[in-house]
Amino acid sequence: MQEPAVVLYSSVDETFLKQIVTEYEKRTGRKVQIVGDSEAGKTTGLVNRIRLEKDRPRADVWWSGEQSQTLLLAQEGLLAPYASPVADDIPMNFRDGDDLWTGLALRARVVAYDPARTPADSLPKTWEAYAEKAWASRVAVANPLFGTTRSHVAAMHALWGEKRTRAFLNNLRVSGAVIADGNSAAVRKLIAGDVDAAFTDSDDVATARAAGANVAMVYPDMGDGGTLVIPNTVALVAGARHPEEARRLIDFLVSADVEEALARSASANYPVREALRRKLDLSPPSASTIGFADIAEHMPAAVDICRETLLK
Amino acid sequence: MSAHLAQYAGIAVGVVIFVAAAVWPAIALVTQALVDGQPATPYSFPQGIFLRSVFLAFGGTLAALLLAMPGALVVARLGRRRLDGWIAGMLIAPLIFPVMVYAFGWDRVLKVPGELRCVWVWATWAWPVPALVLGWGWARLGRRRYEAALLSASPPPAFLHGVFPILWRQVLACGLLLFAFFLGDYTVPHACGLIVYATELLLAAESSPHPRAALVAALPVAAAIALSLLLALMVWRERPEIDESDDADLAASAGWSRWLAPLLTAICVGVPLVGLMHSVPVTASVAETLDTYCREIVVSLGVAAAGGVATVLMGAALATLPGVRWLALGWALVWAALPGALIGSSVISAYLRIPSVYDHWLIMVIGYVARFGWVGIVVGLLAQTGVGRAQLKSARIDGAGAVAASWRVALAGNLPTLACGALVVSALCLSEACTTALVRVPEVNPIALILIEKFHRFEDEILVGISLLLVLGALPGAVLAGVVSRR
Repeated sequence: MQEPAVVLYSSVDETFLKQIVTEYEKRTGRKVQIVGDSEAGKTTGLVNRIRLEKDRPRADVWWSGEQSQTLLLAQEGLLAPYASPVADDIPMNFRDGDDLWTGLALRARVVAYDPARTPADSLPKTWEAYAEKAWASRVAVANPLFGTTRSHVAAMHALWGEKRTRAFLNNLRVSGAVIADGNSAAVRKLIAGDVDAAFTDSDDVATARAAGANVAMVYPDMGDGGTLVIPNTVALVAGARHPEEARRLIDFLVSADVEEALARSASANYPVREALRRKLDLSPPSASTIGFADIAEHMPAAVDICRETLLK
Repeated sequence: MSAHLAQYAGIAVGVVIFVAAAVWPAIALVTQALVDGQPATPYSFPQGIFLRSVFLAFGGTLAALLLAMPGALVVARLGRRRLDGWIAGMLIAPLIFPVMVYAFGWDRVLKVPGELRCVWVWATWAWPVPALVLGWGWARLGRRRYEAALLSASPPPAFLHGVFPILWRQVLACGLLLFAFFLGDYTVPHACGLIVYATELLLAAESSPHPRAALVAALPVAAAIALSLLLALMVWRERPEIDESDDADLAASAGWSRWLAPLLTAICVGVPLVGLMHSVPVTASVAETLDTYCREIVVSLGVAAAGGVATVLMGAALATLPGVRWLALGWALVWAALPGALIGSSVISAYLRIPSVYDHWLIMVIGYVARFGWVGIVVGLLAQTGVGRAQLKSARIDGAGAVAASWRVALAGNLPTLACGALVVSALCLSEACTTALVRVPEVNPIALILIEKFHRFEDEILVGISLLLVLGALPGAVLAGVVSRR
């Protein structure tokens, strides 16, 4: 009798997802069935689906490109504990205290620019400076109701408070910032010359560069001297129908091999493992002090402010 | 006896599909909204995005109507009966290829702001609908007046003064239909990097555990779409009666105008395809795509084709039931007025506890029928009106009941319309990204979502490869449309 296929719900970009899952299938001879998320609705759609299916889960493993939604799932009791033995070398700040999720392969929130048009030293050093009149109309920002832009605004809300976040978003709108339908759409607007700066993720810049675009990135200060970094998160779904298969897949997904593959891929994720950072000579920018739990907690308020200001 | 059985079996299947795709998900949505109660925060209406969506849809409608005029002239000059298979195929071809392919192709050719590109993509894709409807009306009603007006004026004033006063209802009905479709569309604006109201609704449906929140968010756009569709229906029903002998009398000459159809198709289909092919090495792209995504393409084509056939089968069956057809259309139109994302979440809610449907590709077919069921019913009604009343009356005099006459005379005589309708709906299903984003199953990785992802990840080779393979996949459909149109 054929082994049951493990079902993976994932908001990770399809290209990398397919490569990694294919490698797993090749190594183990086991089948993985993938349900991905739409580009615009990254993460939110699948998270809601996991909620909806809680009485009879279809997903065995959850692999998200970010952490906020995973934390919400954990809080709602929709994830099951699993401490993968291959994740021992992952720093504790990227693992849940109750083993409900494991983080790896970081991205950073960055500002992308075209070095041929804009000298690096003319770029503002803080996020708020991009909302000032001189810059805002030259900036593209992804729809802040989705994906990592939403986490970014939630992090600002957690660090800055409501008044300052509202003023930042309001300034962006009043000064004419362009709202794009996703991070990569913001980068496209930059490449097309519609704007001079795009708020996006480091992997979007890396992918565009790999495709031959002349773009570079800077890491504006979140206000505490650091940059917002966003890990991938992997978790076992509570009530998974194929728990053994699911654990086997998680062991692979959180392994150093996969983290190295993601670092070497076009998305150029930063490893969380120190040994890998040294091996690949890759270091992420200095990280913001904001905690992942704080970001998740501030997300609903941040979404409301976005609706009331930027997307009015 | 067997003809009777086939007739009743066909109608029964159509009714079952209607209940499964339109009635049951609607009940599930309303029930869920009542059970879940109020969302935590009140919905704040994004007025700016809504107005922009209305403006874009209006622009797309206007552009499609203008672009349809040369095509309508081709149909008018040839007449429906002499519309050669290959010309009919050429006219239908833009609709059969997935609209996303145009969006990505024009992205490479047309370096204009996303708003203008969105309007242009909609227009170059949808113009055959008004072209065929207006052309047939023009051939049968306005050709004598047009030719008389041509004696003293150039073609545009001749059309405005000779034909438009007779065909304004058709123009308005087509315009309202397109407006409704564009206002609810997520795919093309998304491919052009634009945020529209459908994007907002996708978020509401995807991110809120409260269907009521998504329902409330959907109301403004649903009201606008429902009103447009209702007006279109009312205007369409008031159109003048067609004198079929007129078509036969005047179908003698086509002249130079027969070249307009290939020319228009060459521009609308050829330019974006050349734009795509020009940007990467085609052979290598197709080979790499086949190597990586062959299964996904084949499965997506299969599920989309099943969606197209089921949708038109439902529409054709319901259209044969005199007491039910308008009720069904009304229901389907109200349902269609909801955004794709909300339809998707309703289908999920409806079948969550039925694993035999929920866990398999069948739920995707149901999602497609739910989304495009109204198109199927419109196709069914068009097939019904495609046969003269005299023929139906003869069938009744010969002893056939109303349903039997509709089934055996009207539908049997309009298989080309039904086949073309199924092809067009299949193409719509293949490009549908909004409903599909929610109604997904592990065994099907929808090519529409992969295509969007490739666009966003700057993976041009795979993007072009998939686009060309989808066009190749649709080509037999275009040929089939041409062949059946000759009958």
